[in-house]
Amino acid sequence: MTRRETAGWALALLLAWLVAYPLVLVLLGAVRDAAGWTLGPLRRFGVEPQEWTALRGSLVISFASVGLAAAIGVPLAFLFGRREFPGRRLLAGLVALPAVLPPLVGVLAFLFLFGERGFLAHLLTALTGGAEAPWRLEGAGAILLVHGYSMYVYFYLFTLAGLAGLDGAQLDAAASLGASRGRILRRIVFPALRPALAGAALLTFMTSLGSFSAPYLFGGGFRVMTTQIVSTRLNGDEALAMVQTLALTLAALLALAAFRRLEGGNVARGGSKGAAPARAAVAAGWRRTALVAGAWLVALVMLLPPLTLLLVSFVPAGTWTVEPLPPAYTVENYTALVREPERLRPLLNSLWMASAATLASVVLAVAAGQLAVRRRVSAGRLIEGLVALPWAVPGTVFAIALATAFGVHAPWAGRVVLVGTLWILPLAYLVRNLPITARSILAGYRGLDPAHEEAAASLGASRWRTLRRVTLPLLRPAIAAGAALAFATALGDFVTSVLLYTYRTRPISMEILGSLRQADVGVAAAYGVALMLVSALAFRLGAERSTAG
Amino acid sequence: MSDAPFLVVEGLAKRFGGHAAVQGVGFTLARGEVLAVLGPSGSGKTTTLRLLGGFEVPDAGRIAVDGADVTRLPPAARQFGVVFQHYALFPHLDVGANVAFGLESRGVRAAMRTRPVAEALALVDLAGFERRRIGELSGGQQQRVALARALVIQPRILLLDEPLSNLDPSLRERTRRELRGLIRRTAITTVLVTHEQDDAFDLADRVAVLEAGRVAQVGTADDLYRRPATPFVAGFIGRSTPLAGEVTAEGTLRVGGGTVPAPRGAVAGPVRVVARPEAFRPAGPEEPALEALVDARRFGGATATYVLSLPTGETLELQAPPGAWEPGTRVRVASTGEGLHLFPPGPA
Repeated sequence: MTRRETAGWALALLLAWLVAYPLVLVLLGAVRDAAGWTLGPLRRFGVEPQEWTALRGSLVISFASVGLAAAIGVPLAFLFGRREFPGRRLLAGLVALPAVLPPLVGVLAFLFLFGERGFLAHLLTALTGGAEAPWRLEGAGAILLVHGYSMYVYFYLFTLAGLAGLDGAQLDAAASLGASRGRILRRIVFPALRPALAGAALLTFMTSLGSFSAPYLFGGGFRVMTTQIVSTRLNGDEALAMVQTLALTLAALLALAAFRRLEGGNVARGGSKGAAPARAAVAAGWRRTALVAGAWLVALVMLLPPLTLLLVSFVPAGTWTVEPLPPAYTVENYTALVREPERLRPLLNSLWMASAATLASVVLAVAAGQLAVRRRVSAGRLIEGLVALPWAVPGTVFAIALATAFGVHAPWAGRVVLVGTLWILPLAYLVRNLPITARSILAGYRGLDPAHEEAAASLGASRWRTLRRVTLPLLRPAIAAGAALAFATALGDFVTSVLLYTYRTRPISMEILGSLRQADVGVAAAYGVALMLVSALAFRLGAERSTAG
Repeated sequence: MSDAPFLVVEGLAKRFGGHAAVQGVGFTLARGEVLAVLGPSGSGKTTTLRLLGGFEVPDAGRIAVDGADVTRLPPAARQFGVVFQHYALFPHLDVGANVAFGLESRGVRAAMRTRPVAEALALVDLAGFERRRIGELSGGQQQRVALARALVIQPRILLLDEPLSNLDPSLRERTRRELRGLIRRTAITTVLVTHEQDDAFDLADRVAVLEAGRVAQVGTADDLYRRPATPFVAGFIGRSTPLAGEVTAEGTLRVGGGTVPAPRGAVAGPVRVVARPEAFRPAGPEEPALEALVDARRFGGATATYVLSLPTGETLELQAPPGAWEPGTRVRVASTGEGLHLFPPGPA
């Protein structure tokens, strides 16, 4: 075996140990106990109606989220992608903003806006003189609302991209053949958009299925699998938690396979692609006025949650009680983040853990690209599958899997105790980051002309020099984009942290939760704003890369 | 030029999956000689170049430079200069850093790189371009930077992959002239790969024609045109028309429904005939000739190309004065005694 083959298998083995092995241990844990093979936990899962309620809840919420997100995102994409009116560019950008909100921050923003004690409730009670808000932000409806808000962006952005990829000449051809606008939409536009829509649906479904923040904070009595797993685990019933984990994993993999089929079906592509159809300018008049007003309204509604978050972050503790708007403002909440060691700690924790995890996942992704894409080792397919796997598996599942794998001291089985140490969270972030960095970096490798590296070699450069002086600089945009997104994701992580953190390693998300519990909303909001800004910065980096080519 | 060949390539073979990209490619070059590897796409010329550069390892065969085997040497150890089809300049480095890259890789200190880089740039007429960004250069300038980058390491062999294919037609002629001058000035042993006959004949001393992964013939332009070794070479180099024929025992050639004198050395029996445009001319009244119908005429300055249909259903292209015939008329053509190549019958 050549050195490169050996390196390929070594990387595959390392990735398998990180990504696949913990999942296998969960699978085994579901059907084994100290005495040997057992069907006990499976049976308990099977006969417990609560479990089935939770599984059904997860699926129902996920399908409903897809429907709601599509119902918001697709019309918006048509509005901003096919119509031209004053202010379109600005509004089109604003409407995409919820994409930069980490899940927990989105939930937080919703809480401050729509919660029983939130901004709207304040306004309403102040106006009507009522004692309290006539609604409760709880249950399936609340979860769905948050999901719809934070995930319509997938449909919006994917559909926009799909519309930009349409061939305007095809639409003109259909029109010249006498097709009505409805028929063109049905027969030409939607078939062309199918891959984009299926991709958005898949992303929305998987995100909903793995969603934890919204059900955890708003779920109330409504059960979904992710929260069910965490509470079972916290109650100490590890075997049952593993069965639940298994059930959720299966649901995720089945959904993935189903959506892939939907997406994959042979999409006919024309030989040559014409220019995208021009946006139809809306003539001045009451219709345009209504359109522009509607667009502004939509953008405002979409911006309300982060704006509320920003507002709350400037409110001194305990001052905003009955007034419609906060009576006093302060930057105290922000200075507290850096001045109080207890508040600074989570910030520093998250920063170093997210940085370490991002760095490690970039290194692994570059190794994967070098071996699987560039040197085409025989383990290449395996490597690519392994780096993508964590994407298909909900975060809760990975948290349980890592807790299982690294909660036992058994070096001969590749297991050491990391749970409770400084290293378990960076490791968890690393696993969750892998698909993000790998997606970007593998694509970067694919887009790189191997002639550059061959030229370096023919000029006498060693492998290492070629990597350092040619490959990595050329990959820089892809690495920056992947690393930025991975860093933002890790920094805002809540779903794996909640199961694996210790007091010493508590990340920002846990501190947000803690501040909320202590009714320290201003500080929680300040953390949220900080996360939002970092995340927005990361997305900007990613966008720059895609425009830079 | 010394007598022992400087570059020896023998029996190179390389398969990709089930497909044999090259199967038995061989040629030799004297020191300072320029060889063009010419062939249609898919004939294996790019694979040949990649094997020479060390980017692929051959399944069989041998490459030796100056008597030393380099077949399995990695590219970095070969000291060959390679100019890639799309140049593969490093976009994140400026022109000077691109040209200096090979020196840097050889551990030449920064202070010692300045002069050779400046000299290499001057050689390609880009003196003072060190600080320019790659993206600011025109296609022709990029090619010259790629050349300078390859030449600065004083390569033993220069490899050029489709050196003119990326340039505008208006630029090609001039670039070809400059490239020819540069190769001659540096007197560097060069292998270039191309699918353009003009480039091959203009730049190279000799041309190796590749057919389906094999060298069909190596020779000068004149050799290839006048003495093609295979029907493929005859058809690929210059214009020609394939015809079926038979050499009779009396030494005549039956072709196109008529009879003409057979070329010298022809062996009796059925043959494949490849006729150059100059193989036939308008016949005099008493001459043995082929009857034909003029289908079309294409003017080409001093001569015109006529497309004739023969009684056998075959067509024949030939050159004659523009006013010789009108399309639609019946004419008689006689052999000129040259430009008829006979090959044993075989699969078309």
